[in-house]
Amino acid sequence: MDILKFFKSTAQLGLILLTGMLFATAAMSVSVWPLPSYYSSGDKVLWIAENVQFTYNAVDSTTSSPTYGNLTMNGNESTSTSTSTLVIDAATTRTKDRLFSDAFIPWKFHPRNSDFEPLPNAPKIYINVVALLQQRPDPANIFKTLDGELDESYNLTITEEGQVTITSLTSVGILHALETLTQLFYQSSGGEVYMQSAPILIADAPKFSHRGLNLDVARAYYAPSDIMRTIDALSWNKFNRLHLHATDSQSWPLDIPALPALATNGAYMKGLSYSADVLAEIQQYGAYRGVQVIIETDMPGHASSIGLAYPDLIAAFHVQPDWGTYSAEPPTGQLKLNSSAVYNFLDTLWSDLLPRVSPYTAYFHTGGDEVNANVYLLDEGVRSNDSAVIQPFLQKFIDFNHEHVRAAGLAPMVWEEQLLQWNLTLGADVVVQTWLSDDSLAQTVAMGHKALFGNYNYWYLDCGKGQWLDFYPSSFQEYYPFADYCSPTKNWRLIYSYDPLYNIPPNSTHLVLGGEIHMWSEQTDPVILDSMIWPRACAAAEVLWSGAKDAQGMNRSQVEASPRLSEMRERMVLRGVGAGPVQMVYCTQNGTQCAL
Amino acid sequence: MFYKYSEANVGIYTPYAPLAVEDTPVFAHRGLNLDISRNIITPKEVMRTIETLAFNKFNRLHLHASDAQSWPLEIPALPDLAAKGAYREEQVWSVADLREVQSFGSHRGVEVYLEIDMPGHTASVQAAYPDLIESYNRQPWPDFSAQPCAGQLKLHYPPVTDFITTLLSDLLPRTAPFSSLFHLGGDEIYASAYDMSPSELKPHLQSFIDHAVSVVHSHSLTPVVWEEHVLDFNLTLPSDTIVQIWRASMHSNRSALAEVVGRGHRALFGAYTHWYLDCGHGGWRDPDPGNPDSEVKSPYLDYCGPLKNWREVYSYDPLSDIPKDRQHLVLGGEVHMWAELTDGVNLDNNLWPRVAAAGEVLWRGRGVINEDVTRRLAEMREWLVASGVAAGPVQVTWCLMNPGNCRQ
Repeated sequence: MDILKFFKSTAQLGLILLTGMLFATAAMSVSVWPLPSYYSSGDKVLWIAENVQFTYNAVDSTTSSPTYGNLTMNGNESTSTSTSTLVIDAATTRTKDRLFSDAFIPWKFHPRNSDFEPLPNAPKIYINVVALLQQRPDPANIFKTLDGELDESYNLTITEEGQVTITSLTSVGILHALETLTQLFYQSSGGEVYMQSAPILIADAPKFSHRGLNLDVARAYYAPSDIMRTIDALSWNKFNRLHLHATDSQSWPLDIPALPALATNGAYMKGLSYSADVLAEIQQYGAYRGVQVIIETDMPGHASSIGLAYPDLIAAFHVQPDWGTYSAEPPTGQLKLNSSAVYNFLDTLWSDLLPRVSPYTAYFHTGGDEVNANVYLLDEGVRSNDSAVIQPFLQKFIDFNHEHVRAAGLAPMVWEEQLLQWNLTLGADVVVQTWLSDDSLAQTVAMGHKALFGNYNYWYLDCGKGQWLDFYPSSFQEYYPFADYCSPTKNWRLIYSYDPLYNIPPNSTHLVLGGEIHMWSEQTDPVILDSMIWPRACAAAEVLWSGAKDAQGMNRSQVEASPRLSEMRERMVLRGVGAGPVQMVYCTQNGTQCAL
Repeated sequence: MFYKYSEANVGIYTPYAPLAVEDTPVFAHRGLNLDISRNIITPKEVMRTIETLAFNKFNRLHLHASDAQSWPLEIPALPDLAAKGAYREEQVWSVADLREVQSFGSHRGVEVYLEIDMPGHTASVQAAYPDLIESYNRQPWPDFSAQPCAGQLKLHYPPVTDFITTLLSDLLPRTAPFSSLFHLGGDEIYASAYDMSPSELKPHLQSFIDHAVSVVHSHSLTPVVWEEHVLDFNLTLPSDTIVQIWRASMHSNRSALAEVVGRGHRALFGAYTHWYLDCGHGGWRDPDPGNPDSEVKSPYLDYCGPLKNWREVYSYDPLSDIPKDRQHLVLGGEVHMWAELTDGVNLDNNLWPRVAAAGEVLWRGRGVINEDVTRRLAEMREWLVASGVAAGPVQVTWCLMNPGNCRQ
């Protein structure tokens, strides 16, 4: 196999695609989710057998078992080249496993009792080699690139003769290409694996560079295996960020060896916490799959659990019954803002935690939402609920925290209130995560800050299950029928229809790095995690990767999307993720019968 | 009553001794209506559900066993029904499957009874017997049917009469050992599909139901029908007929249940306003890009949203407007799991723990919402999870650990 010939032909291909994009009609005859940027396909059948070889820059990449090695970016261990090889080898092992274990027979997508499989006696052309070509070495910081720093694009071609070539500038681009590849194949009822859409030409790149899920692991505890299964599902949908909302008032499940009482007293139960080793394992799991795991320790609000270990650090700890005066949710308690003990605590916390997470992520989230002013009436160092009094203390607080974050080689993330409610001065590197409204996003970028979208009107997955608080008998009538504040449930269509840039001026869109869909856990835990997140997060994945508008600049068609989403759902179920159905089998079997 | 000690090999204990319990249900018919036709729900999944229903003192499982979209039940006398009407062979409930499920229920005090919904909701029959169906796949379907695909059994048509006789003569002897009930359906009948007005339709419907009921009676079973036969078409039904309501109120302020028992019929409650478990996940219909007047628009809500949260299920007061002298006609009720957006993967999460909340209303009567209910339901939830049922949490763990601290 002549590598140079491949490079030349794919470079030519790149040119053809770039110039030809205006003429290419994306006749979507196969189901890739999220939708690639540019796509063309045919109707030729190709088969693939278990002895298919994957080559990575012409070196055999097929290993018999995944090796997770010790991925460190410091010290004498692997250069970035061999780290990339480890990542790609593990990915090709997973890809082969998916190709031959998914066993996806797509009978739900054809009229009942119809013949949709390739003719069994027709001559078979086999794919023998999948060539992965990475055109540049990965940067040394491949696991901790800032949003926008890493090229995630790829080209995927499959000729009628069965030659498969993937080209990319980075290993992450190849990971994305391999995900797309797995979505092209089906299993026949005879057991062999085929695709029926050759020749394939795909050129794909994400619209947004920050594509994430925010998972709350503090209101409910999730086992590491639940988090890792979620990382897998995220990678199938080309998400690249998992934001772990790791601590809150209800529990502190993060082991901090320098402050052992935090988890000992703060976790719901002994053992329901993430040790340093486990946290590293979770981050490595993500790193191998192109998913940066970002940790958030929310403060100074949502921090009451710290008081279970260090009561002197918390003001308004567990006020009852009038918790509503001091907090958005029970239990109450916020870090004091004028306390040297708090600053000593934070110093120790940051020295322990930040260096541990830094090898695998570019960011650290310091939280800062729903800071209640009344709490500071009860803080002996502040004694006021006047925001003019509190604000300078908050500024000092955030400056201190962000200085530590930067010293560890990380960029800070915060919730929108720090900027929009408290008017704090934030560094240019700070990413502001909005959640209250579309206006919040517009205001944030108007002030020149990098921003993330995903507000509770569209992208909160927890909405619609009803109130979780109990009622005094006197409150029953007022709250009946117990709808929660962001009811109703955000269905996949609403999530899919969200247009994050609709109110952003074109000269500010570069500040909108991307967004996150949120899984708050007041009423979710591992038992139902999969059906709460999926397939609705898939809808967000397509807005984040493909953009909210189609190639003609129109709102995306749900008639086109729903069968494709249904196929993605079937694949996810076969891979062990409990995603609920998108429609009745009747609908997916019968074209557009379920459109109105 | 019993818990396991947290350390291994210590044992199982109860902290409640001494204990004396006297218990008896308020309602005699306490059921779940489970749709196995819109999406695929297997006999095994149904048996797991029966086990859980029994644990919650339910005593009826109503299987909505056929609909427009698919016909999963094997009927040996009419083999093409399932062979051509099921989504796929693996969806088919064989004779043995059905017997196994009904027997499983019997052993646990849960009577499993079947519904063959007719004459509406029968388009799936067309694949086997095209001659029997009027307005099959007639477009635009919303004018002729509640859901795609349109198609209703022809009325006043001897081959349909014969079909009903053959079908029921095959099926009823097989279900009869396990339940005295048989549900003939009868909801959402579109007169337009027959090109008739409702008043023109009525006598044909009367003949249809007379025949179907006579076959049910000939097997010594009790017919169950949906409320429309009484409330929309004012058909004459035998006195033993049980009428199942699903709508909340009719033209007046009276509930549909009050209307039905007001006419002297025995009835089952379960209004969609409180007891439809499928509500709130959004509409399943796609907006047709070729239809600028499509009613499917943002925020893409379903007709009965939002989701009926467990407190709403629990606060359903079925007897709220039933006069004392008619209450004996209210046999009980059913909570409904329509399956347009549910299959085996998310069945447990959509059923539980909300079915448990309905279970307490059925066993004890109308409930009062308070923290004690939350805590007891939250404990039931943990029992369900321990037994392998994927029920969602009722309350934040912190709140359960700190009683009285999560009130507003």
